[in-house]
Amino acid sequence: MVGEEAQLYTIEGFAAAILIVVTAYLILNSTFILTPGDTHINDLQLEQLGNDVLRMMDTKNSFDSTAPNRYLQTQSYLEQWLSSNDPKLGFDPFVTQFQGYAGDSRLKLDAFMYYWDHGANRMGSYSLSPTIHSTSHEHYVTITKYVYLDNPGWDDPLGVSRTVLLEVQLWRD
Amino acid sequence: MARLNDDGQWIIMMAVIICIVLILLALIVNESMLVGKTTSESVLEFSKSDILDVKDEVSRIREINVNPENVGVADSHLEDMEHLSLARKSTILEISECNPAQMSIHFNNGVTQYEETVWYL
Repeated sequence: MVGEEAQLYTIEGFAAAILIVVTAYLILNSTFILTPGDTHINDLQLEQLGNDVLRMMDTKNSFDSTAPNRYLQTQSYLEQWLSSNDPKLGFDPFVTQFQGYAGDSRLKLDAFMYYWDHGANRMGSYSLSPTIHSTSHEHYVTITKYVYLDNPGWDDPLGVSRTVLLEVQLWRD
Repeated sequence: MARLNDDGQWIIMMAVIICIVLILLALIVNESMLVGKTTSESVLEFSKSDILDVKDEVSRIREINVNPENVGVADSHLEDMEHLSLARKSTILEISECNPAQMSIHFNNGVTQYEETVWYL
């Protein structure tokens, strides 16, 4: 005959064990593990930050009443930069200003400018950032901004007024 | 039945209650994590910034070329936007020909469709 004196203690032990296991499971399950393909929350914040900064850079601080026409009176930083003869030279100041507006010096950028070639009826692109010879890349987000250019200096033939698409890849190092 | 010592009933009772409360709290934390993830996913999917950018640029093009003799220039800018949008962002963008009084925007990226007609006073 088996001793049956501690039946209730045994049942209580089982119940307590189940409670503890369930609680532990729920708590562990609540922790959030971010894998490279699953960084939506970070992406969202970075994308919003980048879009806000580009928007600020495409707005002029003050009205310049000495300029000859409406476009130059309200020309934004981005419009000025991308209209220059060689926008590549202005990339580093752009990065510095971007980091300043974002308040985060760990931000890294890569930028391209796309324009539509009406003659050949195809899209042309212009790489603005220096070539990086890297074998890997942090997870990045892409932000874009249309920029109005009146007679940009890099254009051939000159004297064309066009809208270009500035595309920036943004990541944190 | 075995005779049990039943001196600590209240202590055991409190232990059970605390355990249940802990489970409920863990459940709430668990749910909130899920909500944050799905919310940010759906916000990312909605192309708010793209639409804002298109609206910004259309109003900039109109502002600079508000003079009727510049309609050709403005239309060429709008055409640039339509081509670039399709080529780089897989988004169909159709903007009505430049009319300083009224412009309409059609935006469709396969997930979000947006229509707007702006009257300028």
